[in-house]
Amino acid sequence: MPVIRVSKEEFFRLLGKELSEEELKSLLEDTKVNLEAFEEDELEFEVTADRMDLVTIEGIVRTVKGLIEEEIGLPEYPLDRKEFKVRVTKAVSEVRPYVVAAVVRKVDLRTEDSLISLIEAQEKIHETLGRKRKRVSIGLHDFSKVVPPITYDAKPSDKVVFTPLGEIMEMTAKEILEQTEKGREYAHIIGNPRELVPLILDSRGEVLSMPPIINSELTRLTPGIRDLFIDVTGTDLRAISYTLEIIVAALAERGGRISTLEIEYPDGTLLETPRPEPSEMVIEVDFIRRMVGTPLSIDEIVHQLERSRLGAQKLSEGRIKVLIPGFRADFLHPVDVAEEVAISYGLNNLGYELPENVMTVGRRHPREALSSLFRTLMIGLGYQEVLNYIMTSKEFLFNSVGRDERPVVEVANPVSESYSVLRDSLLPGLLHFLAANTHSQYPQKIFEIGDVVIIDESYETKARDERRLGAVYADYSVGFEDAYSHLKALSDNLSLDIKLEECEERPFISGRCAKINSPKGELGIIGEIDPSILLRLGITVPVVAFELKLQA
Amino acid sequence: MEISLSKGEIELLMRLYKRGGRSSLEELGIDKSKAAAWAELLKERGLVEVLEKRDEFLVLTPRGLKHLEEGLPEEKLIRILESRGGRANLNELKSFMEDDELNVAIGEGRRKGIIQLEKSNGRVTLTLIREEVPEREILEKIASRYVKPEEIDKEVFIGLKRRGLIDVGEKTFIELSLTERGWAAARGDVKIVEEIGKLTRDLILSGEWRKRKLKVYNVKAMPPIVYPGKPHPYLQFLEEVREILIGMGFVEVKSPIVEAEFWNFDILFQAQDHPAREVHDSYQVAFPSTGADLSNYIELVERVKRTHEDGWNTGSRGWGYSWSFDIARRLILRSQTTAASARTLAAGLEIPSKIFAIDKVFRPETPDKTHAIEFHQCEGVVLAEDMNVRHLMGFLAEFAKQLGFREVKFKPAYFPFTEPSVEAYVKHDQLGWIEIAGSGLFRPEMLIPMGYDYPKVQALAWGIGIGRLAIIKLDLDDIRELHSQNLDYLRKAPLRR
Repeated sequence: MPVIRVSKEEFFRLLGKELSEEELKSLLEDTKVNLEAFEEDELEFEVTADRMDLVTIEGIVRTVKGLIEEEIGLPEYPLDRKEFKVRVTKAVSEVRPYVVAAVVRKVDLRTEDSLISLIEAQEKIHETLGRKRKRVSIGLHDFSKVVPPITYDAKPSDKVVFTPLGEIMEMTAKEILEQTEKGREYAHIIGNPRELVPLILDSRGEVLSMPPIINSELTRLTPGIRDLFIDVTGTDLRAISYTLEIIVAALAERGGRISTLEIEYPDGTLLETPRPEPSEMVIEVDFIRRMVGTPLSIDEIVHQLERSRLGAQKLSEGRIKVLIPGFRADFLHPVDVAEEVAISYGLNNLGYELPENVMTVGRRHPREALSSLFRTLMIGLGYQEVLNYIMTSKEFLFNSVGRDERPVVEVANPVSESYSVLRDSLLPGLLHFLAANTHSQYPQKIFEIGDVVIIDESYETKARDERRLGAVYADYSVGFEDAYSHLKALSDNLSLDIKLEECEERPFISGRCAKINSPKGELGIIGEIDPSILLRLGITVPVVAFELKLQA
Repeated sequence: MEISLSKGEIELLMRLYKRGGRSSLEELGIDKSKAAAWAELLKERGLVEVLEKRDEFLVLTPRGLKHLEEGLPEEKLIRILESRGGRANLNELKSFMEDDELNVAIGEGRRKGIIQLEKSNGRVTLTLIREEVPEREILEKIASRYVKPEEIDKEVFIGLKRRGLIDVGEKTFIELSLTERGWAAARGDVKIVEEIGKLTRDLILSGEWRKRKLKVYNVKAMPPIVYPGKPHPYLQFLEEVREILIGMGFVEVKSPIVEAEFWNFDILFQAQDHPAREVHDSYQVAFPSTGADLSNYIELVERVKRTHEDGWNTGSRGWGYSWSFDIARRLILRSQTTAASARTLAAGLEIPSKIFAIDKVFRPETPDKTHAIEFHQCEGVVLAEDMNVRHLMGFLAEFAKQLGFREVKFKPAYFPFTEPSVEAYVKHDQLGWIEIAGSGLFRPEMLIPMGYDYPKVQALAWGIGIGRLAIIKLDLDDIRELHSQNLDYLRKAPLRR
């Protein structure tokens, strides 16, 4: 979950009043923002991933104002419409298709902290919602250096020249991609650096930014800046629109006046951004009552929605029109409004109860029921149960225990080679377990009941889980007969119809190994482990073993 | 007067008598562990005195051992001089021995009168006088048996110690001696009657057990330790959780470990670009390399696709992107047990139903104290009419109570497939409030494509990282200990009560 740190002084200045740690903590207790730290100079908050509007200091202040009922309802920000156009060329729509933009004037960013927090919020959005700038990237510019209208275009990287932010010399886009830190970090997002790069250009043809890599030095933000131009580009129109709304609303909380712009896409579509009106949702009051399980009055519901900084209008005794500001992207369905009411009312204030009339009969899965029977018998035979990992390595499964390699499920992105495939047998894990405990008292009788995964093309997911029992018995003197007598105890007590049939299979001793067959097919294997394998594992006593598929 | 002793006790008593009434335990010629037990019993009857004694003895240092094998420096010097007719000058010798070693050899050789040094015209000549080195015999003796410091010449001892070739070790041993009563018994002044130790079938059938005395055992003596076969402590805990859920009316369900993204994510309304679906958060399967077969679910897949894209008829806006079938059929390792719930719900459940799953899930984490690459999740779903968030919290509170937690509180949360979403916290005596479950009511975008009559029918769902709870309950401090490879730990871990 995103964590943000803000200046304490700045926070309370924007809020317009001081709160103690206790007051702030208890206000936020039942919300999606947590107060994690209340320090001398800074505050730390943790917010849930669906509330990216809260990664800005202004967003948290807005929320707290609602909770203390200092300001409630839909936040209203002054707005001018369609100041100028942003034209999107056909060339860029194949490189990085979407752009939205806005201008915000007369923003109060006079303190250094305010500028820092704006940049930090931008970075936080890039990391999360922006998927490291691939899906969303934000450009913030000093609007006084911009001559509108704007064009969003793409040009060959060696034909573009500008001074990137933080440099003193002009460079070609190709050089920026290959030589600067940001260039190397993000170049992969736009593909081949020798080809087309996306650009935000003003009417003079000045490069304002090369998204998602870097802005131009020309429009650098400096302390005391008042008017900003904001561009957001990316691959997902909904995500970039939402991002623009978050940034614009944060600036508006600082007294900024918003100008919407018109984005003109190559197919002629016109899109006004940010959206001048909130979105609307008409909600049945009974639906909310049903979800929260409490007969709240319609006035109470309206009040709670307003505390959550939503607009709420009573349409009739049974319906409410909810107005949702653009910076809240977490409203897909009326149920999201119901959650807002539950949170604002307080989950712990709703109380809880067990429902009546949901009588059902519980039972364990047949696979677990069968496992339980085998477990009981193995414990009766004196075996200690162990638990090994299903993820392992080919070396562990095959070579290290002398088994012949066969196909197993492999993962594409292992964290380490040791955990890169799924086991197809329990025996390797049990033999390694013995190897790790040669100092411990013998006899050692251990077993595991667990899943192995077998490649099976006929199965929906091309592999099937198989529940198995594996057992090993190590002692100064132990032989095939000991394992067989235990296997027989299982088969007699569970009425399994099994027959042994001699076979050759590594790592068992030839002539002391058998397949366990049943009328339904092969169930497993039993035998004495080859001493050369035991010695390789550092085990100096004989070991017998069996592994059995559990079938009802 | 008579005393009753077991066969073993009699044997020990008589051997001690034959050795003059005093001996170390080892020297009696009886298996040491048996002899120790018998000696304790004789001591209790006042026949034998048992004393723990310390003894000093000499040991070779690693250097001493090396010299014993390779020769002492002075021995090397003797050999070289012999080979050169008993005389050599110093510079010649330097090509045979290291400076340090030569210095020691000359020093020791002069001290013991083995060699003589002459100086003329600036040249130093060495002459061999004697050839025996007394230390060799002593080092050999120390290497082969216990030698007490007082057994060897004091000056030789000091010399060897100074040169770092020997050291004084200490050992404890048990010395037995007969008491006055012990002497009397051994001499026959007191009559000894042989007692019966372990009863045997022969003793019982022959009637012998009636004629002789049954030995009185020291019932407080520790018996040999045996390890019973028993369940793994963590799996035993999971069985308890299973029992609780079955008791609350839940039916256990399963799903495959190798799973299609469709069942692990898409059907749960997790968008295809959701971060949980990236390589850092779920294991993608490289082999088998073909995708999953979803042909049995064509209609369901279509409804899920449309729900993601524009909400279909769920009343939702959807996520607004172009949904890909190829992503949905990619194989991954199950990363959440919600896949099991989803498969079961999609197959059609009666209303009401309660289901649960306890199974392993897999995530590409870097293993440490609190993260494992595979761990158990415990998931529960209540599918019924007219359920609401208060019922959800009611089930969580009841489950927490069954797990032994008295206090519970709730916080809003965000999960892609539940709304409202709730995190449950319980109060732990030492640790304070701990988060135990993520939960919520399944979203309409999940339930409606499966054919459920939302909002009339609701599904309360919760998931617990049961391994993290287990380490608290089992008093461990590392999640990796749940898969312990330590047999002694498992053998000694008591069963949970």
